[in-house]
Order: sequence, then C-alpha cells, then structure tokens
Amino acid sequence: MAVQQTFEFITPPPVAKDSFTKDSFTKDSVTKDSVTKHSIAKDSALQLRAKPPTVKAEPQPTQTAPAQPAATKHEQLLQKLRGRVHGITTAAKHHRLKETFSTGCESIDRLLPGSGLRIDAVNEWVADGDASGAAALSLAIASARAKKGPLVVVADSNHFYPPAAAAVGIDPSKIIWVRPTTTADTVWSIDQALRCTGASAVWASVGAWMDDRDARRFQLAAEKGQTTGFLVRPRSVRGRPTFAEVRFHVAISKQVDSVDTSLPTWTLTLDRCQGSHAGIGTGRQVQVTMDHNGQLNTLTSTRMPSHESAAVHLASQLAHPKTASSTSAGIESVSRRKKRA
Amino acid sequence: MLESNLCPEEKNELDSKENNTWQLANHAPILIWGEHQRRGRRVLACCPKARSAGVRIGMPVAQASELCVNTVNKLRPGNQGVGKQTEDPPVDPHSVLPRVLPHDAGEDLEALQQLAEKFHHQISPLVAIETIDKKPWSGYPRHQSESLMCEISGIAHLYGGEAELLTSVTQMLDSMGLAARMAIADHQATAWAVAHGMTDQIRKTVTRSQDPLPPRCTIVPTQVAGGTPDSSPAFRQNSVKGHIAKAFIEPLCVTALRIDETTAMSLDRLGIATIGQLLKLPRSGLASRLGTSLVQRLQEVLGELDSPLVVHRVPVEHRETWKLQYPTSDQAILQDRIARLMKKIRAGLATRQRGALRITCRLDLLVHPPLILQIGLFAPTTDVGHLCGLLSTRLETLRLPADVNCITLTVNLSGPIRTTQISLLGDPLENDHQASRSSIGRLVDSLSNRLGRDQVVKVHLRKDPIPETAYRTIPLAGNPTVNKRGGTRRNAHHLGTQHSNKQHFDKPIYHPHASDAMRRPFSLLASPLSLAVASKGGSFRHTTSSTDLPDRFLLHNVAYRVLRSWGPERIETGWWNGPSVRRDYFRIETDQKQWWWIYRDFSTCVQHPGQYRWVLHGRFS
Repeated sequence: MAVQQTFEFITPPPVAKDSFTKDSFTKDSVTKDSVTKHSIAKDSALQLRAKPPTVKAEPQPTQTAPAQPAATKHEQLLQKLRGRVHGITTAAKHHRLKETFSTGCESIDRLLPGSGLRIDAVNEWVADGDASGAAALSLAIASARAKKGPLVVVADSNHFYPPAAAAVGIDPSKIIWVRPTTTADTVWSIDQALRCTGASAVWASVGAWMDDRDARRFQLAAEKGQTTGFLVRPRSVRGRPTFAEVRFHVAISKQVDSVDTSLPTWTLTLDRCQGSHAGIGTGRQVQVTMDHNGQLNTLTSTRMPSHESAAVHLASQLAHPKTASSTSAGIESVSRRKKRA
Repeated sequence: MLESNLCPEEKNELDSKENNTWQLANHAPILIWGEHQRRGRRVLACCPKARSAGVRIGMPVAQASELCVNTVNKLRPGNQGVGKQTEDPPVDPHSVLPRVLPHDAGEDLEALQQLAEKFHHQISPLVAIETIDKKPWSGYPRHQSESLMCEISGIAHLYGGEAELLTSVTQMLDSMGLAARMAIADHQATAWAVAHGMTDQIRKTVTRSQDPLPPRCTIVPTQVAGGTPDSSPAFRQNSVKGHIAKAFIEPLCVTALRIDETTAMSLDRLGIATIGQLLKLPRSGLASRLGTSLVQRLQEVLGELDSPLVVHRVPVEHRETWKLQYPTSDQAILQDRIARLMKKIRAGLATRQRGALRITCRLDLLVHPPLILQIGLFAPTTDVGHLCGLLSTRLETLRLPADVNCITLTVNLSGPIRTTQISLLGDPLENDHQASRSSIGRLVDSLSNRLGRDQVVKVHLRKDPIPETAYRTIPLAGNPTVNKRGGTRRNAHHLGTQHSNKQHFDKPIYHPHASDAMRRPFSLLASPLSLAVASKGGSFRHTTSSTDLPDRFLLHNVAYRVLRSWGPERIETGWWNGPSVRRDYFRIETDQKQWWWIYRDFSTCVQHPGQYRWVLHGRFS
C-alpha cells in the first residue's frame, strides 16, 4: 500500500498547478513558466501530501467555464471539466496528452477519463471466478488493439485457447504465443514484450503472485514500448493495491430477458482508474454483452452517486492512506455514512 | 560397422516414457497413424502397451483403437473385484481411449539428424543416415530413414572393445530416453539385416555369449580367426571366409534384406521365409525371376558387394574457428572471441547478401563431450551485437565443466536479407514500420533464446472439429524464410474466409457456428475432469442413464447447480479415423456465476450400454 501511495504523489503537484493555469489562461505563458516550473518542483518536493489543496482548487475552472459557447449542455460541460481536472491532478500527465484507444464499447469508454484505455499502460481484469469470462472480455477488447500489430500472449496452454480468441475477433496470424514455465520467466517475458515497440498489445494471465516490483516494472515497460498490457488476475487480488492504470472487476450478471440468451452478460465494475478521485469512474458499473462476432454491446449503465454531493467526501476518503487503495470499499463506506445521516 | 535402429519412433518412445513416470497404470496406449494412398489411415507406430494389446504396424487405425479399448475393458472387471464395491469408480476416458496422433515425418527426420550429430560428436567421426529406396521396403511401412550407421573401424579399442562400445552407446541413448537395436558386423548391409531381423530367440541359438551385451544388441564376429580389433575391413574381407557370419544371417526373415513388397509377396508364395532358404537357391535363377535387386541385396549381406556409406554432414554455410592459445573458462575472454568470430561470419555472409537464421556455437573443452549452443532467429540478421547478446545470455547460464579449448561458430541456415531503400527525405511512417518489424524479430529471438524454441510459437487454426486438435503451433524462430509470394496468397485466402463468415452473419436466419464468439472456452483443460452428476432430488453418481442434462454437478466435492444451459453441440469423428470420439457438448451457467463447457461422453457406452459420463472440458475464463 505504501508503495502505491508514494508513486501517486511522487510527481509534485505544483507542476500540475502550473499546467492548470496554462490551460485556463493563455498558452503563451507556458514557455515563460517552464523555467520556474522545475524550481517550484524542487522546492515543493516535500509537499507530498499536497494533494487535497489541488482538489479544493476545483471550483475555479467551473467559474471560468461560462465564457465558452452557451450551446454546450450542462452535463457535457461538467464531463469536459472533469476530464480536465483529471488531467491536471493525476501524476505523469502534465506534458502531453496520452493517446487512448476505444474499447469498442461505448459505455466502457464513458467510464474512462480519456474516453478509452491508454495505449501505453497496463490494465487489469480481475475475474470473479475461474470461469467468469474475464479472459473473454479482455481479449475482445484487446482485439481492437491487435489490428495494429502483433498481440503477444503470455500464458500456458491451460489458460489460453487460440480458437476461442479467434472467435472474438483476433486474427490468429497476429498472435505470438509465449509459454513460459516458471514465474520468473513469465515476468521477464511480459516485461520484454511490453518493452517491444513492434507489439501492439500484451495479454497475459497473471496469478496472485505478482508483487509491486513486477507491477512497476510492467508499468515502466509499457510506457517505454507504447504497448498496452492486458493482465487477467484472480479474484484474490481484488482490493489490493495495484500499479495498473485501470482495473476492472468482471463478473457474470443475471440474465436480462431482452437480449439473446446464449451469450453471457457481464457486470463490469471499474475498481480503479488513474485519476479517478475527481469523481470519474471508480465504482461505476456497466452491463455489457457480446454478440456472435465478439463485438461488445452495452445493456445498461447503473447510476452513479451524483458527483456534486459526493466529490468532497470521496476526495478526502481517497486521500486517507488506509482507504486509498481499495476504492470500492471507500465508496461503500461513503454511502453507508450518507444513510446514517 | 555399427548399425543402430531406433526403436519404432523416437517421439513415441519418449512419450511413453514420460507418461510412465507420472502415471504408470493410467497411461493411454499411443498410436501414430499415417495416410495410406488407397487404404486410408494406417498405424505406423505404436507404444509397447498398444503392442501388447495386439496392435500391429500397418493395420487400420480403427481396428487398432478397438483392440486397445477391448483390452482395457477386459482388464477393468478384475480391478473392480479387488476394490470391492466402494463406489462406481470414475472411468478416466484417457485410459480407455488410445491417444491417436498423426505421423510427422519431418519431425522424425529432424530428431534423427540431431541424433546423428550427437553420434558424430561422441562416438564416431563417420555417421550415416540410411538411404532409402523409391518404394518402401516390405515390413517397413514408414517410408523414411530410421537407422544410423557408424563406421567404427579403429574406434572400438578406445572404448575397450566392441561390447563396451555398445554399452556406452546404450547409456548415451538411455540418458536421452531412447532405446535402440544395435548390431556390429563387417559390412553395412549385414549389420542392417542383423539389427532389424534379429529376435531374442534367434540370438539365443546363434550366439555363444561370452561377453555380456546390452539388450537388443548383437555382435557378428569378424570372419578372421582371432581378428584383432584394429584390423581394417578390407583386410578382413581378403582373409579366409568363415561361415560364422552366415550362421547369423541364415535364420533371419527375408524382409531383413530390404526388398520391396512385390518381391516379398512372390517369395512368400514360393514358401521362402528365411535368408537361409533363399541362399540355397541358384542365384542365376533368382536374378531372372525375382529381379537383380534381390541378388544385389544378397551380395551386400554376404559382404561380396560393398555399398557406399553416405556420411551425414550438418549443412554448413559458413564456419569460423578460433583456437585459444591458453584454455580458459573466463567469460569475458570467451565473449570477446565469440564477438570476433561473429564479425568474421558477418563479413562472409554480407558478401552473399544473406543473414543468419540458425547459428551453432561449439565449445571444445579439455574434457570430451563438447558443449553445443544453438540459436534460432526469427528473421535473417547480420547484427553482430544482437547475435552476440543472444549467445552471451546463453553462455552466462551455462556451467562450464572444464576450460574451453576451441570455439567454432557455424551458420547452419541463412536467408536473404530484405533490403529496402531508405528514402532521402526520411518518411517517418516507413521508418517506424521498419523499426517495429525489427523489434518484433528481436523480441522473438530473445524470448525463444531464453525459454526455448518450442515455447514461442505462432498459431495455425485447423479445420478439425475435435477441440484438442483444433489448432497447431509452429515455432517462430529458426525457420527457413518462406517465399513471400506464397505468404501473401495465404493471407488473401484467409481474408476471403473471413469475408464469407461475415456474409453468413448477414443472413436473416442465423445458424450457430463453431467459430462464433463464446462457443469455445478460453481455457481448455488438458486432462478433462470427470464430474459426478445428480438429477433433481437424486444423489450423486459417476454415470447416468438419463439423456437429459443433470441438475447438479459435483467437482472436487463442491456441488454446482445448473441455472441455464445451451446445447447440445455434437462432436463426432468417423470410426475410420481411429477411436471414435462422440461427445455432446453443453455450455452451462452454474449457480456460482460460472460458465463451463461440459460434455456427455459416449465412450463408456461400450462397457455399460446406456450409461453416460459427464466431463468438464473447459471454462469460459
């Protein structure tokens, strides 16, 4: 838990503040500030816990917002601003906009801050059980990425079955299947594959053994190689801290009568999402189903507790070191408190 | 001359050995089939267990698998009697059904070549892989080279005698999990005949065993009385012709002469079974009636005619050797020398505009067996740094038993380097494409270098309905470069099939298809798990007589209730293709929110008519 904390705050928030001013005022000021930026960064290296102030600064952009065309609706505007705030407050995002790709399903895209998964990041799919379709769902989403280049699959033959992968839309000729036998080899293979600029995505079935060091290694490798990582994790890692950019929890939900019954419906919970403390995403659920081509379709997206009322609580909750990692637990406690009130 | 015939098939033998270690009683009989032009699928090789069940080489696969199933069934009631009414014992389908695998001649040849190289390094400098005729020989339906011949004149004394030589070869093969039939004789054909045709019965009558020999080995004594071990074959031949060798040959079956099917048939009609009977006939008559090839074979066996030995050589495209002045095991020195050699090799390859695909590094040590490192590459390369990096990672993990004396680098396979013109203005997109391609090559190289060539594979889907064999994996590294034109055509074809699938979905009436999403599980169990089943209100049993989908399943003592199910999807193979697989697959959703792929197995119907078993085959993980 401690490791995750340090990582989240390691890049100094003042830099974020800077880029914030850049965004809301003029673009010319960027070059001027670029020199001072670093000095501020150095000075405030100690202000690791300075996150709450930045969150509090939130109302400011909301005030400047009406200057924009009035045609934008209230909801859209909020969405946009949330995205911007997210961009400011999260670490390692200040210099350039990260490239994202669409998951192929609109409702999942809407959960994510960049309206899609980041190309150079690792995302995790926590399976509810050993047969709950986390691999199916993640491979269906990885197929969108696999059109760009080879997909490296790191799994033993008990955890990957090529005809099923082909059925959800992955071209079998683009699969490079690596079958390591030991844990050390698995970590090394995933790392090498993520580091490779030629590969478009890496899909791996990773057990609960993965520790923080491995996770951080994967994260850096993905950034280096601009490769997306899809890791399918067992249920036991749910609630534990993670280095992944996005973590989904996948469970098979009860069937809805209106859809084709021969295919499962999943309840996808966004357990963690980088920069989600601004109120985007985390804890939200969507129900998706798959058609016979392996294309994902939205069924319903459940209502989220409204941001306006919950945001302050949530932020303070998340800032608390104990609850920061298990975000889902944090939300539950918030809702419980609300009830009491 | 030493002749070793590898016991039926290396692959087969290894498989059975592996199985024996972990599951002695439960290992399934193994059959390997090959397609006969007119007679369909025939058994080409089988494991000892299948052989004991009565399977013979050349019989139809369907018959062979039936024999295997019957033998297992015969044994089963006895087992149950001992267990005495504990419960209906779960029948493992894998112990009942034989494993039926297709024959891969290329793989066999590769294994044999590797073995020949090993013999070349460890036993004799002259090793030959047998040459085969146009038509398969009678009694040997696998039309492929399967024997190795070693010239051992002047070698046996290094081992302390011919018997000791055979013992050390047996030890070497044992360590690789192989068993061989071996014979030492004056002439190549004699050794071949004795190795192939000698049975234990004949051996007992013929040999007056003085030396204890390893099993399945024979030494035909030289025809020189009291022949010294280092006497050359030429010298032996000129000496007095003893009749000892003849005594070894005469009781052998005529098929040991390597004759074709028609000759064997006509000999059979004449009532000639052994070589001894054939030798009594006048040769001039034989030549006119049965062909000159038979007489030639006879002459070869008797040593009157010597056929040339075609020595196997590893194809070498380029070779560089570095003799170290002082033997060392210092990593830095070795790596430096390897790098220097690699530069030389690169220069040699560059003149031909080719890049290395397979490289062998041989380290001669002060003690005998040399160390051999092999590297396979994804794409032809001339990058010295990359190649040296691959070799040094291998070298680092190696423990050198002694100092290195000499380093030899060999390029065994190379391919043309694809040269593309770099645009003057530097098109960034094109450069990116190039870079990504080379980075994939590097990734595959380093992965297969560390994990092994067979662990980094590409996938090729087959049109086989049986889920276990629905795909094939091909190693990515170390393959000869494919003709580019062929590759594109295949891609086009592939796209075409996809297109037709699309059309199929556009049709108003939808027909389910095996290639639809979520029809196949994402994790297929290598060994399917047997499930105990219970109908509504009933208790759990291992088999059921009802054809309906049961209400509950028991797996690892946890009960699962079926909420919903889809099926059946029947997968059935033709009886002529080996053991008939007949399964009704269902996709089920359990009450614990799991999706399983289970099937009703009909294979138990043979012993208990009307009884079905339920098996978990995969999970939609």
